Amino acid sequence: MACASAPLAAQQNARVLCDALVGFNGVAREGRFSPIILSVENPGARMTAEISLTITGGALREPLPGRTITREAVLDEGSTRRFPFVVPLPRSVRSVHASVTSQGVEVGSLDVDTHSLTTPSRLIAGISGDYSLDGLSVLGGGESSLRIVYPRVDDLPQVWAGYDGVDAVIVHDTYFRQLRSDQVDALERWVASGGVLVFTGGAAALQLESAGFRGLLPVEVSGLTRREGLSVRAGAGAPRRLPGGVELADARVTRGTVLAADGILPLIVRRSLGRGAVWFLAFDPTVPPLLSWDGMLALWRSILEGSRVSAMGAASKPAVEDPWVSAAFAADPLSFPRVSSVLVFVCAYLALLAPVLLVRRGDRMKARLRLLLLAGVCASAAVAGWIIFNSLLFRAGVQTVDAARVESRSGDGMAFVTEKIALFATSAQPVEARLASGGAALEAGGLWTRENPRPLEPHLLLRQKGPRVQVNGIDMDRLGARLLAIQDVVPFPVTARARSDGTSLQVFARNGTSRTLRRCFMLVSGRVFPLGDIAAGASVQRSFAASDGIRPSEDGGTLPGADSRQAALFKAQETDEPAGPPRLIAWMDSPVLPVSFPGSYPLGGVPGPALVSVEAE
Amino acid sequence: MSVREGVRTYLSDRLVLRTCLYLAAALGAAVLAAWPRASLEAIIRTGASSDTFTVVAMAFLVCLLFLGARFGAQDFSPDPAVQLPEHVRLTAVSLLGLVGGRASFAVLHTILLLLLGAPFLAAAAAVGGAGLTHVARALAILGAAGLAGRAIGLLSNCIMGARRPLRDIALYLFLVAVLIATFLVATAASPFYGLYALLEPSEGFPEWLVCVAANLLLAAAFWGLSILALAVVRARARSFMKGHGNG
Repeated sequence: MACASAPLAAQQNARVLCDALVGFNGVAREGRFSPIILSVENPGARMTAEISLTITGGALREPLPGRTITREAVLDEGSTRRFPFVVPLPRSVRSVHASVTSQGVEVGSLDVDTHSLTTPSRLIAGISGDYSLDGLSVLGGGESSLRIVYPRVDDLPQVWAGYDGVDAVIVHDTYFRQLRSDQVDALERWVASGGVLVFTGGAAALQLESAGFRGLLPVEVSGLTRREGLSVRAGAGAPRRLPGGVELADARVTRGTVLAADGILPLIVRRSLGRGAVWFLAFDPTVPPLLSWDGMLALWRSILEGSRVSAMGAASKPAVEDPWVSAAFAADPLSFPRVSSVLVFVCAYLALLAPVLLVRRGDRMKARLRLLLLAGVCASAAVAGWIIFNSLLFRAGVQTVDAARVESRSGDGMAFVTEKIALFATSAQPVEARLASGGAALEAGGLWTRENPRPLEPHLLLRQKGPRVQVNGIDMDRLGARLLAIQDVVPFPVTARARSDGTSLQVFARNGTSRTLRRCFMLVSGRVFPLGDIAAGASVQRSFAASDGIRPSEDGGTLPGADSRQAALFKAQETDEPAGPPRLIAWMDSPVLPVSFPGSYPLGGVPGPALVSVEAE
Repeated sequence: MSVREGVRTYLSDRLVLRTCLYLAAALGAAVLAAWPRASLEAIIRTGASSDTFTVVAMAFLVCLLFLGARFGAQDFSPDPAVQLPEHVRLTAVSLLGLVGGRASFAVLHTILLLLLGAPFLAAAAAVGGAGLTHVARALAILGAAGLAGRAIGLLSNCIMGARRPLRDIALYLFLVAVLIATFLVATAASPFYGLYALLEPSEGFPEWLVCVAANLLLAAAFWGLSILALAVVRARARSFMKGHGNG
């Protein structure tokens, strides 16, 4: 384990001692979110402390703080507590600074140089009591392009974004340790976000359910069985019998697809979950005779094929150049009030002023009256000018353009949500974000200006209070825009089924969420079959003739009932893939993730569109 | 001139009132000229901010400084039969009351001029990247600078008397010199810089407040100098009278 400790001299005056574990057992992939566990030992009296972690990026002259995460904690007398964090580690990151303060006084700190702890290589996390999965590094091709890391069960992340740095997690042997429910939940959500989780079999498979994986496994393991001369296929070659006996997990498929079996005994099972997949191998690939089986690498290749899209980098473009946001902008363009409207205002004001100023008045009373009239006209015009040009024709303050994508598979019960929020401010001001989800992956794009074409991420200050996160540091420039990307996996119980016999289509959809799904339609082979709105808790069942479907691409891009923003977002997100599986498409009216920006309002007074895409059964 | 007198004369004289209308028209023209023509999306894409608010505020400042200096020098006072130095020479009126009365009316009149231009600042606020607080701060800077201009005008009147070409040249040159000097010596005190920096986020002590305070101090200093100049005029007149009486 690679623990970084502060120099003793630096800790002599400290009242607490800090250790940090970066990444998976001291290895983190650069350019990804990574887990950091900060361990704080308090040998003194009980204290309430603020724990903060600052990621410092590299710069030519001086280091720039990228993100500071703080949380409050009670450190009991003589206790050692572990504080898990998930932080983005961009390529420019230099160090991590941890600080513990109590009553405004720093009582402990730690600096970790992250240079030696980050790697550009792909990572696979192996949960195993030994280093038996090292052989998989040859799958990386080039030298050191794939590394196998072995995190301890206790160190596994508690939020899904912590796994952003790994392409796959292979559960080989939990050495009888039980995962906490939040760790299992994090793994499940990470799979839904596109991760690959592999359970290997053999004798160690008997530990899987007791370790807490029952809800994730595609099978139910009931025992062990031994097969002699198991017939296996190496790639596209002919089946071949393995010499000797193989110990297999005796399992029954509960959900998923059996890809290989020996009679009724499933050998390889795959379960799709969101954008990712859970695999179960009934055998232990790290022991003979499968260890030397020439088809094993091909099997691993097919399991690990494709690379997961990183949660980092979602806000890497200027706000208005992001495809989703620009689609919303294009559908509802922001514009300054016309010059003609200003001309009318100026003329009207002068027309009101002229009689007050030019009509002859003589005596003292009249001068006072003129003063009052003049003040009244000016004040009224000032109020009118403010209302007309700062509220009616053009709104001052911070406006938000929110566009979200909700990706789910029927029956998963959860969805991977990507929400992009463009903030547009008329005047320079700090903006605060409040997020009621501690596990979301959050990124804020820098300020893109002519002078600053490749901005650094702003110094975000994240204050965590339970599941709530308050984000500061999103400073806006005047008439500037900024992009915020938030990704999370949320409960989303929506079921969709489509059955087609060539001439007719039977569609069933059930909305188990607490919100109405608007303007739903089933998208089958590029054709749209409208279903209308589906209220919370409601179901819809319809039959269509195959010819009833309309092709948006042939009908001028129109979608049933969709407004211009929704249609633009659909066009920006969807690729016309007639061969893809049938999908239930719908919209949600307001932001999906629980994020708010106090004092801001949505562009045009209308909440941004959220496109829901549910892969049908 | 007391506040009451000022209201009566300044709000009855056609030239003064027409000047107010010209000021409003000039500011209206500035708003129209500086109104953003590019699309908002283009501005966001290129990161080039609209300067409408700053331009209108600067135009307002130039007008206020010009008019303030002229009003301070009593150029628009209707038929000044008795000029200020003569008034001081011939009467025993309190110098503090004399200058204080003018300063008090200057405050009232400056507020009126600010009100006159406020609708344009309000209209240009959002498109120029300003909020309500920026409008209030801009008006504060403009007011303080306008008062400083009026104080400079009064000083020139106290020193050089009624309007004449030489005094005009001296007044404008002095006004420009003061503006340049404040910019070079204490940039934060310059009203032009104050308005320019108003929309730029800054840390530390608010620059607009420094600018307002500096200009109010400047105005107070010039009014104090005006009292001094008038005291010299009176002292000379007395010594002349004494000498004349003795002779």
